[in-house]
Amino acid sequence: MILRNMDRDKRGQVTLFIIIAIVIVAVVILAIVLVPQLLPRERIPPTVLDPEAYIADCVNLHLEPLVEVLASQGGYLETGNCIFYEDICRHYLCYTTTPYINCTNQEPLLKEHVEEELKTKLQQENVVKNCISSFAEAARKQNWNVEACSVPKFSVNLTEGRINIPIECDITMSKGQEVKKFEELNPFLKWPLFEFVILSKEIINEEIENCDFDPLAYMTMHYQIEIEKFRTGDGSKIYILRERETGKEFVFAVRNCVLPGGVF
Amino acid sequence: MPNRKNKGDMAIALFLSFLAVMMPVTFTSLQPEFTEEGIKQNSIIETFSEIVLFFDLIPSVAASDYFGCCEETKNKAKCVITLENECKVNKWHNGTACDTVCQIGCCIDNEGMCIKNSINTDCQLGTFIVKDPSCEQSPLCKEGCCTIGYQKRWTTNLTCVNVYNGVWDSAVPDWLTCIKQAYEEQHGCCKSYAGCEYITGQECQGKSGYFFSNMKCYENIPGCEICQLQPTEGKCIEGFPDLYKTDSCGNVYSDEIKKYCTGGFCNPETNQCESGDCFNIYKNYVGGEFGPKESSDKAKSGEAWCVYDTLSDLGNGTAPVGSRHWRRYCLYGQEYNEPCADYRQEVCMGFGEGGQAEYANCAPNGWRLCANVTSKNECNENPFCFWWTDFGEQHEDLGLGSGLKDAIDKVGNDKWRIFAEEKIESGKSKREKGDPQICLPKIPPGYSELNQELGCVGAGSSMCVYEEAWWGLDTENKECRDDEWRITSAHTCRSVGDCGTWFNWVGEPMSGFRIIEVEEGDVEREKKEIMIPQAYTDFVSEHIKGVKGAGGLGLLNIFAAAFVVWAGGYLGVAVLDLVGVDVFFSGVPWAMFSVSKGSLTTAGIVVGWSIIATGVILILWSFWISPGAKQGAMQSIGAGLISGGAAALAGLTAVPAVLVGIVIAGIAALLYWLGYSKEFYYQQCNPSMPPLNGNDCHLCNEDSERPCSKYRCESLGAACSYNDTITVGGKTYQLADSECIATINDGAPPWITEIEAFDMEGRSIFKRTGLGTMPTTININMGGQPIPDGTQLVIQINLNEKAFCMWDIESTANIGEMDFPYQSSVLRDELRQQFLVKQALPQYYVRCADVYGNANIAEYIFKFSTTTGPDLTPPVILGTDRDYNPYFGYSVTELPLSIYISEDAFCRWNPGQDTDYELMSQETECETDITPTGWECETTLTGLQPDIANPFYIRCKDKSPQENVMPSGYLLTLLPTPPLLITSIDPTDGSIIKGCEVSGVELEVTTAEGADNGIATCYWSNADIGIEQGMTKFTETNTVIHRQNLSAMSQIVYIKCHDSALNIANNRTSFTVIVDTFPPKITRLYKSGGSLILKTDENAVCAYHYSAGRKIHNCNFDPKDTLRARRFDTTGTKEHRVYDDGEPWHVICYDECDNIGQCFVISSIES
Repeated sequence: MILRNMDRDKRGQVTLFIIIAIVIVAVVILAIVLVPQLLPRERIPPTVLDPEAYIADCVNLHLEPLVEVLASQGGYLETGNCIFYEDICRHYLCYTTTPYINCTNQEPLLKEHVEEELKTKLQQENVVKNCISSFAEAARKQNWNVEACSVPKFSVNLTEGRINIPIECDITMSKGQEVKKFEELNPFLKWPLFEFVILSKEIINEEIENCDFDPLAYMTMHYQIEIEKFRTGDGSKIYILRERETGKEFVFAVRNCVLPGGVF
Repeated sequence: MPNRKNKGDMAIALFLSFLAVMMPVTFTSLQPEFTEEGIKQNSIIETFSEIVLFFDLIPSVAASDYFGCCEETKNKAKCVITLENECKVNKWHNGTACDTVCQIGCCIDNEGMCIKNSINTDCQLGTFIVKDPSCEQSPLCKEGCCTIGYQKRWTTNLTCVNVYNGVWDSAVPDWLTCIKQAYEEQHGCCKSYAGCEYITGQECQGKSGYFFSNMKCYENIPGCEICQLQPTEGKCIEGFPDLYKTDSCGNVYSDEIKKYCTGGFCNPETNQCESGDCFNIYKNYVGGEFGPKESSDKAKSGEAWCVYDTLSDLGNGTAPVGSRHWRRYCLYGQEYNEPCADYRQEVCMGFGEGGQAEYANCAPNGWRLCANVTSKNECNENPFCFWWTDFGEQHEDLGLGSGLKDAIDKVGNDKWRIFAEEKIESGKSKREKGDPQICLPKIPPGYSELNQELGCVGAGSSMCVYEEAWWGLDTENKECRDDEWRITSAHTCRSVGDCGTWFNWVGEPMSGFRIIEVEEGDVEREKKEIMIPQAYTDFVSEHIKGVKGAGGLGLLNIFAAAFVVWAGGYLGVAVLDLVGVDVFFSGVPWAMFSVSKGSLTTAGIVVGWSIIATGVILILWSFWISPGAKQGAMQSIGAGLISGGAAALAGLTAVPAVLVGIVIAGIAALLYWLGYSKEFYYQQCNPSMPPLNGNDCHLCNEDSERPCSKYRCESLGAACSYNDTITVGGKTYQLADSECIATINDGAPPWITEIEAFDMEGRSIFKRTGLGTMPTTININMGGQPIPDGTQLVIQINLNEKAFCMWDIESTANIGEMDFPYQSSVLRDELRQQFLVKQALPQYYVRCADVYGNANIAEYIFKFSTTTGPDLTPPVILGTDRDYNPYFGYSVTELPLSIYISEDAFCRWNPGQDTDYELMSQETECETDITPTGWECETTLTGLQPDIANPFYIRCKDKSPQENVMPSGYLLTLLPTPPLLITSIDPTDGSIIKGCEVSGVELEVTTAEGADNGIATCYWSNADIGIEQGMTKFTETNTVIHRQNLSAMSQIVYIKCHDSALNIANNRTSFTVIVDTFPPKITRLYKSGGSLILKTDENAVCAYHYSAGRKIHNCNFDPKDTLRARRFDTTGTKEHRVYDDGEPWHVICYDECDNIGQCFVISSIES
C-alpha cells in the first residue's frame, strides 16, 4: 500500500533497497554457514596443563606422516623388495620368483615389524625426546618449573584403531604450591593400522591356501574396509586396503602362484 | 657353387635338427596340476622351474648361470630361487630347494594367527612349527567359528579371543556354516558387567552374565530398564541387508527390521538404506552382444561381469595377440576393476542364469589341459578345450580303390602338427600312430618373449612329404597338397598361442605362418612360398577390424609373396642302369603255360613259375610301401622277375632270360623314376610378428579402465616399448604402471656388435666384438683352428638394438628372399641359432631388420674355416624323453627310452657304471634316417630296482670313419616311486546300505603315496577286467579322493588306479542296498507290571485309535493323525509300552520310512 501510494521513482528506489537488503542478509547467512568450512580452523594447541595431550599432539605431528609413508609401502619405511606402483615402492609381503608355486611369507610377524619400524624411526629422529623437551620449554614459559627425564623410554604398539606410544618418563612440574607428577604417558594416534595389518595377514594366508583372494566376497561381509586388487603384467598383485570412512590406505604387493606366459 | 642337391639335404637336415632341439623340451610333462585346491606344480618345476624356463637343449648355460636357493637377495627378498649374482654373499645354495634351506613352516604370532609358509628366522618372536607350512599340525591352528556380536569370522581360538574379543566354537564344521549361523542364531538379552547386550547365549556365558533367551533388552528385563526401544531410529549391521530397530542401550535387533533395504544395502556410516547400484557401468559384452565400452547399463551392488578386448576373446580359439580379460564389479554404489592375469593365463568367466551373467571371476586358463587330450569326446567335455576338425576321419581312406592298399597312412600323426606328449593311458607309454590329435585351447595363451618360439615352432611347425609314383597313380600323403590341410595347419599354428598369421587386440594383422614348398627339380632348384589359402585369410579378415583388403596378409608379411627355394632332397630311387642288350624272345608268349615245350623241363617250368610268383609277390608287397626307392626297387625287380620268368617259360635259355629280366627291370625302374616325384612342404609356425612400426603404441595408454602392460604394448607394434623396470638408488625394481612408447626410428638397420660360437656342450669356441656397423664377413674357427666337418655349432649374435634376423645358405638380394628365420624371427637384441658346419657348405648369409623394418642391405657372411681332415667330434646326447620324468612305478622293471642325439650314431648303455663304449652291454636301435624328432635311438631299460635310484650310462659312437665315441657317459638316473595305495574305500566291503529311498550310492576312494603323493586316475567296473578292457573312469578323479555315483543296487565294484609313473593299485568293494519298503512286524506281545509291551522287528512308532478322550474300537484311523491316534507311552524303538487298561487296543505301527503296518487288535492279555 505504501508503495502504491508512492510515485514511481520512489517505488523503484525502495524496491532496490529491499533487494539490496535481502542480498546482504543472504550473504551474512552464507558467511556464517560456509566460512568456517572454507577457512581452515586455527589449531588450538593443547595447553601445558595437559602434558599427555601436549606431547601426543607433538608426537603425532611427526608420527602421522611416517605412518602414511609406511602404510603406502606395505609396512616398510625404506625401499626393499618391492614393486613400484604410482611412483611408490609397494613391498612384497609374500613373494616367490618361481612360477606356479606358493609364495613365501616375507614378514609373518608383520605387526611386530611395523611397530619396530616406527619405533626405530622415532628413535632415530628423537621425536619423543624432542617433544618432551618442547613441552618442558612451553611449560617453563608459563612459569612452571619442569623436571623431565633425559632419555625417555617408549614403545610403539598397535591396537584396534590406534597406534599407541606408551612413554615412561618422570615429569614433575611445579608452580608455587602446585606440583604435578607424571610417570607414564600414553599418547596415541588414531589410525587403523592394526586392522590393516590383520587383514593383510588374512589376505596372504588365503593367497597361500587358494592362490587368490576375492575382495568382493570379503567386502560383501565387511563394509568398513574397501579392498582393491590390481594384477600387474609380471604376475604380481597389488592390494590396496582403504578405510571407507577416513580414506586411509595400506598398500602391499604379493607375488604368488604366478602363471607365466607361454609354454611352461 | 654348392651342389644343389646337397643344399636341399642341408636345408631339410637343418630344419629337422632344429625340431630335434625344440620337440623334447616342448613335450615333456612339466605342466602343473589343476586340482580343486588350486594349482599344484609338478615336483620338478617346484624346485627348478626357473631353470626350465631358461633351459635349452643347446647346452649353452655357463657355470655361473645355475639357480639355487637364496636366503636373502640384494633386494632383500627372502628365501627365493635366484641366480648366484642376485644373492647376498654367503646366502646362496646351489641347486637346493628353499624349503630345506630356509626351514619353511608355520608361525603362530602373538595374536594367535597361524601364518603359513613362514621362515623360521622370521618367527623368533612367535611360535614356529617346523615342516608345517600349511599350519595343519598344531592344534592351536585349528580354525573355528568366532562370534563377535553379529559378526562371524573363521579363525583360530587365540585370534578370536585376543584380536576380536569374540567367542570361539570349534564344533562348527566349516566357514559357510559359520557365516550362516549369523543369520540363524538365537539371541537374547544378556545382563553382565558390560551392560545390557543383545547377544548369543554363548557370548553371554563368556561374560558370565544372565541370559534371557529370546528376550529383547527393552522388554522389561530386570536391570535393563533403561533400555528403551527407539521408535524413530534404526541401525545397520555389517553383513546384514536391512535397517534394524535399536534401543537406547545401543543394541541393534537383527530380528526386528525397521526398514527393508530392498535391492540395495544398509550403509553403516549413515544408517540408511541406499541403492548401492552403479550407473553407466563399463561393460562391453551385453546379452551375448559385443557393444561399446561405456553402456547405459546399471549394475546392482554385488554384481560382477567380464570385460574383454574384442569379441574374439570369447572362447573360440580366436583370442587376439595382446588381449586380456577384466573382471568388474559393483559394490555399495562403486564400480571396481580387477584385471585377470596377463598373457591370458587367467580368463574371466561369467556365471548366471538365462544367459545373463550376474557374477564373474578370474579363473586360471586351463589351456594346458588340452595338450594331453586325444579323444574328441574328452576334449569337448573340457570347458577349456575344443576339438578342431574331423579332417582325420574324413580322410581316413585316401588309398586306391583297388583294395590292394588300405588307407594311405591314415593321416597319421607324423603329418599332423603334434600337440601332445606321450599318451599314458591303459598301460601304454607311447603315443599310438593313427591318432589324430586336434584338441585346442578355447582361449590360447599369450607367450612371453622368453619362450615364444618354443611353443610356436615346437607345437606348430611341421614337415609334410608328398610322394607320388607312376605319375600320381600311387600317392603318399596327398593331403600335403590339400588346402584344407594347410588351413588346418594355419589354424592350429595360431591356436597354440601367439603364433602364426593372426591379428592383435586392436585389429592390426600379424604375420608368422609360412608354407614353403620344396620340389625336387631336375635342373633348377624350385622353391616357392605357398600362399596361405584364401579361406584362412578370409577367416582372419572377418575378425580383423579394417583389414587392408584380400591378400593383404601376404603383402603385409615382411617376406616377399613368392619364394623360390630349391632343395634337392633325396630321391631314394634305386636307379638301375639300362642294360643295353638285345632281348631274345621266343615268340609265343603262351608257351609259358605249356608243360612241355622244346627243351623246357618240368623243373624249369617250376622254376620259371616260381620266379614269376616271386615277382608278383614283390609287386603286390610294394603297394603296401610308400612310394620311394624301396617301392621302386621292388616293383622294378618284380617286373624283371616276371618278365625273366616268362621269358624262361617261353623257351629262352637262362642267360637270355636273365637279360630279359634285367632289361625289363631297368625299363620299369626308369619309368618309375620318371613318374616319381617328391615334394616337401615345410610349414613354419613362428611367433606372430606385430606390425613393423610404432603407430599404435599410444593406444595402450589411453584407456585407464584397461590399463597397459608389457604384453599388450608389444603386441601393438614391433617398435612399441614398455619399460617395466625402474632404477632407484642404483637398484632395479619392477614397475607396475609404465607407459607404452614408440622407440625412435633412426632409419638405420641394426648391426651385430658381438658374435660368439658355442659347441654342443656349451663351450665357447669363438668370440668376436667390434665388428663395426656394416655387414661384413666373419671368419669363424675353433680357437684358431679349423672346424671339423659335420660339427654343429650355436652362433649367438648380439645386436645394437632389438631386431629380427634371417639366414640362408646362399646369397640373396634382400632379407625378404631369405628362407630361414634366425631363432624363429623373434625380436630381440640377442639371438641364437644352430648351424651345421659342412665343407660343402662353408658359409651362411645373415641379415637383420629392426623394429621399423630397416634391414641390412648387404649380408653378413658367417664363413667357417673347416678342416679337410676327419670328423673328430663325438656325438652329443641332447637329451632323453625321461630327463624330466625320471620316476617309475614301484613294480615296473623295465621302461622304454628314446635318446636324442646330435648326429647319426650308434648308442649303447650300461646300468650302474660308466664304462667304455665297447664294454657297454646293451645296444639300442637307432634310426638311420633323420626323424621329425632328430636322430633318435630307442631302447628298453631293464633291471629296474625298486627302493633305490637306478643310474644308467649311455654312450654313443658316430658313423664317421673315425668312429668318434663320447668321452664320458650320459647319466640318466631313474627314481623309483613308492607304490600307490588305495587307503580307503567307502562304502567298505560288505556294507549294507539301508534307507527309505536310495537313489544312488556314492563310491569314494582315497589313494595315497605313489609318484604323486596319492594323485592318481581311478577306474571302476562291475567285472574284474583291465582298464583298457572297458573300465570306466571315475567322474571325479586325477586327485587323491575319487568319487563316482553308482546305481542304487547291490553290486561288487572293482577298482583300479594308476599314477603318472604307472604304479597300479587294485581293490574291490561290495555292498548291498536295502530299501526299506516293509512295515514293522510285531515280534512279541506281552504284559508286564501293568504295562502292555509290544516288540517290533525294527524301530517304529506304534499308536492306537484314540479320540475325544477315549479309545475307539476300530481300525479306521491314521496313526500319524494326532487327533485320532495316540502313541504308546514309550515308542520309537523296537519296544513299545503303554499302561494296560484292560480294554482292547486297535494298534497300527509305522517305521521311519513311513511304511505303515496293518492294524491289529490286542484283546486282554494275561501277564
